Amino acid sequence: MEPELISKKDLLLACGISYGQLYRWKRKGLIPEDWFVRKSAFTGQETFFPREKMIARVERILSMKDEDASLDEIAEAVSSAPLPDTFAREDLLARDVASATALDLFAERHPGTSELRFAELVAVAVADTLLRSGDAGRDEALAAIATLEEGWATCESVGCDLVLLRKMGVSSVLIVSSASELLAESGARVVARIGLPERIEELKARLKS
Amino acid sequence: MSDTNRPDTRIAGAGTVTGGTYGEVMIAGSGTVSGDMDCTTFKVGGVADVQGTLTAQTISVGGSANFTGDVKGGEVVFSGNADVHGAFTAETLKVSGVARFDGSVSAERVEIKGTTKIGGGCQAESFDAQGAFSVGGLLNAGTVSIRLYGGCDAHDIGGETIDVRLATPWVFLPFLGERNLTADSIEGDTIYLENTRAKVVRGANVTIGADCAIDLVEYSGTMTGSAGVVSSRKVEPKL
Repeated sequence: MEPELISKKDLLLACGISYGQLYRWKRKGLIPEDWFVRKSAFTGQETFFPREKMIARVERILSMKDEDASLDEIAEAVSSAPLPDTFAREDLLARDVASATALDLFAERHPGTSELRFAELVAVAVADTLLRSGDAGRDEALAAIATLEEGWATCESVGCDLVLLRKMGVSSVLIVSSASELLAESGARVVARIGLPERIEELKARLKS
Repeated sequence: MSDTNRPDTRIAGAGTVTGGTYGEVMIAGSGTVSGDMDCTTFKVGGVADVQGTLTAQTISVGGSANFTGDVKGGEVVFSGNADVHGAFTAETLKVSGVARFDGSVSAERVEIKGTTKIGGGCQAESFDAQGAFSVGGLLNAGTVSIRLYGGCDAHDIGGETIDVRLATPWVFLPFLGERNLTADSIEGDTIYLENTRAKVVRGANVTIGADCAIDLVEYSGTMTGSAGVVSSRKVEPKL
């Protein structure tokens, strides 16, 4: 399923921003590289964006600018970069960021650790989503945590999705870049696909509030 | 002043320095740096081959240097010959010699007086070129100022103010050849173009000067001059 696209020109008109602003935001890392989709058009190549995500991002930037935030502050708020601190299990439970079940899975993997780094927290939060929706069983959620911890470096630099694939009761967890399409063999089913950049932003917003 | 944690080192003949943390590194003869190096100052007067990444507050290459990895610097001056195979980031980059970058270039200020070839994209708050350059990807800068002394090209150019003019050399230089800028698309707020070949130019206020060949101009504010423009249209905001 490909997200609906909007051309750069239409985006500028719809949001009332200028080329200069858009390029500045791109330089400052306010808009992820992989949202810039090149497609051929009658004038040669043109740039498109995933419509919904992009308009939401532009509106967020504009509203933060109205509150006098600097571009660096906005970049910090919207970026997929990790927060430096660690998070205590009790605190996460109290704020309902992740369920006890998901945190227990993490504890099983790292016995004796009660402080989670941001990467680990993202992994736990994704596992939590999978468990809550009933898409994944315990072992699959554990595999998701392991995969995210190992693949964090990639997820951090490129917008990625976590995919849970199942065929005849056997499941695999994959990390793929958000823009890529996934074709599985017949009989294999994509049980869940979770966008990590969105989850990371959501978590950050929640942890900051 | 040398400090014990950051020893200075100097190669005057031929030699190899292992990677690590240094103070001032000077290569006057022919030197190889094996491994990643972090130093305060990196100076090349002779020939240097850096086999690893280099991080330094100031980098100056007057001779010839080859960097196999990424280069991260504060003030970087390439007045000789420099090849960078990894990604390049700096506060300021000044090229008055010949520089080639296989990857991308990211700096606050880029000043090009010599010849520069960038394989990837180039981003800067200000990009000032008075020589010949080629950017394989997007040239994205707040202010793009290009004085054409030679052939320049970029795949795409985007920014706030884009100003391209034919330079007026002090003396007649017959070897300059074609003096123009070629790009697929040029997009910005305020655009002034001379001697430019482009498929499409989009902006708020666009001025087309002498000797341009542009297929399409789209503007939201004003357009001045239209010589060499195949078609143009005003873009109205949708309400």
